Amino acid sequence: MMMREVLSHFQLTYLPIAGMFIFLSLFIGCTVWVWRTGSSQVYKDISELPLSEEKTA
Amino acid sequence: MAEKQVNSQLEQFSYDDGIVRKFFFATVLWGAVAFLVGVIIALQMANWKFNFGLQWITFGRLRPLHTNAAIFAFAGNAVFAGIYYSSQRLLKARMFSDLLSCIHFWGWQLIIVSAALTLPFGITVGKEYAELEWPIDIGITVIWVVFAVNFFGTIFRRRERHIYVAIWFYIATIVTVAILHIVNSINLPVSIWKSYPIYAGVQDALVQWWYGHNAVAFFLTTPFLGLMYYFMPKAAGKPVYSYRLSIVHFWALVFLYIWAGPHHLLYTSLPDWAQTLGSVFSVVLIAPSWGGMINGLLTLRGAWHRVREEPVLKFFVAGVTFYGMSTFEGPMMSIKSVNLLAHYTDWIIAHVHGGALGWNGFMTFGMLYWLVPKLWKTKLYSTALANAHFWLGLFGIVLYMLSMWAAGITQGLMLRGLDPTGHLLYPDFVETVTKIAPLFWIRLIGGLMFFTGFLLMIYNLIKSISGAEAAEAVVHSEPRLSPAPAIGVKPGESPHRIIEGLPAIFTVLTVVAVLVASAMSLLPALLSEDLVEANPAFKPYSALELQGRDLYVREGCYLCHSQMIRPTHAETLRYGPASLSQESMYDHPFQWGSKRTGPDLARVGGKYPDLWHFRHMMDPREVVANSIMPTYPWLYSQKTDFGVLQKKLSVMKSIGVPYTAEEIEKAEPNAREQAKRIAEGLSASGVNVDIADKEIVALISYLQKLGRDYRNMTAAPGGAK
Ligand code: HEC
Repeated sequence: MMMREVLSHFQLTYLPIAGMFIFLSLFIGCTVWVWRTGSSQVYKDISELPLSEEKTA
Repeated sequence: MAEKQVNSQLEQFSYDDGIVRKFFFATVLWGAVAFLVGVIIALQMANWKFNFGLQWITFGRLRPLHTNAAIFAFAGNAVFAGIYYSSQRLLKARMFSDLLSCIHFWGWQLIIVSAALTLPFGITVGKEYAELEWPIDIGITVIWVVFAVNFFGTIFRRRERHIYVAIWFYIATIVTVAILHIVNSINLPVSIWKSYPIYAGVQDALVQWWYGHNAVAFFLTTPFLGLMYYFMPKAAGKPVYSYRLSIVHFWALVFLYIWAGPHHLLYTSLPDWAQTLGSVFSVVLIAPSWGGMINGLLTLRGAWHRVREEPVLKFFVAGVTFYGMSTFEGPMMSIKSVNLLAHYTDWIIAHVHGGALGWNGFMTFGMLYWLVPKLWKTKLYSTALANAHFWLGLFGIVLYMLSMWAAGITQGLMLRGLDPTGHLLYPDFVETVTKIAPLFWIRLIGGLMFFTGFLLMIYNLIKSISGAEAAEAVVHSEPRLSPAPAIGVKPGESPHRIIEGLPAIFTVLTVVAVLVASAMSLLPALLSEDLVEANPAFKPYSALELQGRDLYVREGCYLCHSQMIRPTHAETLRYGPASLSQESMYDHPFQWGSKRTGPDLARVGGKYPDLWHFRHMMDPREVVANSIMPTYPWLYSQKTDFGVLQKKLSVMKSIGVPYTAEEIEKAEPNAREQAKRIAEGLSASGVNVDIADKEIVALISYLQKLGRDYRNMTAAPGGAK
């Protein structure tokens, strides 16, 4: 069948490279977004959440 | 926060800790079962006689019980205890429904009990970590949905706007485990306790290891990371080292993990490019894993001196360190050349126990010790005992891992060893087994130490709790998030607020990441009908052979034997030419195996006469001196179920095995006829009991079929291979 032809001649290097490319862009995007300016206080607040229980209880 | 001031209407509520206490007890109880069964099968590996000739506790049947108990009963209940405790507090809301919590708890225990009652009877699908038969699978799905509704309901009713990273990890766990379980458990029933997976061969292998690998990821890793992000800061009294890192950690992990599944199938007949894909992503996986480990460990900054005194912190630090070790070792073993040595050997066993005992076990113990004084009005009975538990456990794991590394590497090297003329250095498989047999005893000692430590914990917990009352539920008051959190995002807010504030969007993004990666890594499986070209040389099993195959599955032979010859010189010398994907195209489920305690069986058909197998299965040591394979005497007295064969063949036909109407119609008489021929042959060689209707004959017919078609195909034009 057609699909078999395609699959068996598939250049095996493409898929990992494509996957890596998608991953790297998401990774860089995520990292940049996380360190965006003005976010420090927000993250500080959130990271205190597990500890806030003692304070409010 | 702003919206709270706007809406100052206070609500009173309390947390449901009763459900946490229930899961707490279940964790301890099933932990004891899982570790005890582990010790028993370690003993059976050291000396096969320790199954006492009882079929229900023979290695092949107990091993699935051990893994299921460890993963789904012990780790599962621990995860639920931790999730129920932390989610309520992080979301500032009681669980959505006490009734659902209760159904979840009892339903899950019922599933575990039914696993414990079916697996020893050989009721199994025959796929690792997905052994449970279809009625139990349906139960799991229902209970999981109950859990999900309860959990998402709680998120919906929360009084805290922000969703802390631990909750993200729980969400990823819940949605992904549901997807994995459903896709991998699509089986067609033959009867109430027997079903066949709809996938076969390569396709089944790929789906199974996509499941298997990601069960490790989303049942044993993401929920425990969630617990780490909650309980480490609690125990250390400090917020997590870097919240930003935790976000990157989360997304990188969710995105990467799914792609790595094919690293369980390197050098098999899976297409090469799929293997490479799995390899590459596995290696990259080190990065987020270590990001998480570092984040966990650095949470203790400035509190390191307390690790010396506090057992809880000791367990957490060691647990996270084991996480780091396992997530270094895993990617390393995914490098193809390393995998060639490690795969099928005890090295893998060392690896999984580093993860299971070190990471899951120690994180759970730390959490249990931490929870006792919170859930009951009490103090921990003895810190000294908890410390003793820690050191016993730690040295137990170290002994376990060292012995299994040594065993795996030794056997791996012996199996591939060639002399200068290119012949196998150790042509007798059993030589490689006797060499490592002493290490099985050392493993047993390691396991016993770990188990003893665990018993100390049970004693310690009982002493702490007995006489103590359950902690009173504290009434909290918090403003309501109005009107519902999802609508509470204001126009001016930054996008992260929207994503974090909207669990629905967040969940969808996670599901997309998981599905895209799954689609990519399952591509060959999804298209396998196009990929595996049917070859008329390879024929489906006869009715009797199929019955024999089901016995092979029932006895868990696949837990000691592979049926997949890798394309290396040493392996083809030992077992014959590398396996082709066509050879297993009618195998529902595939039986490639993952561990070679015994030799590969892909081409064992025709290697020995029927009589050899007849004697070998009765007592392997009769034909192979020093064999450690258990005996199977019950196969010689139990009768083959011929009546079910017609049904079995027709189910097989409906999932794609090309049986003719006549073959199905005549399944029973054909099987009886074939059994009679084998029995006659045996009696001609001196076996003078009437055994045609006994299970052993069906099993022999199956073993003799393995590799037969391949041999016939290659023998046809130019003589023997
Ligand atoms: C505890 C692990 C274990 C289990 C379970 C086990 N075996 Fe074995 N098997 C071995 C070992 C070790 C050998 C090598 C020594 C020998 O030949 O007895 C072996 C050898 C064999 C051989 C000979 C292979 C050859 O090429 O010489 C066959 C056939 C076999 N086993 C069939 C089975 C079947 C069928 C089952 C299930 C009913 C089974 N084994 C279960 C460990 C196991």
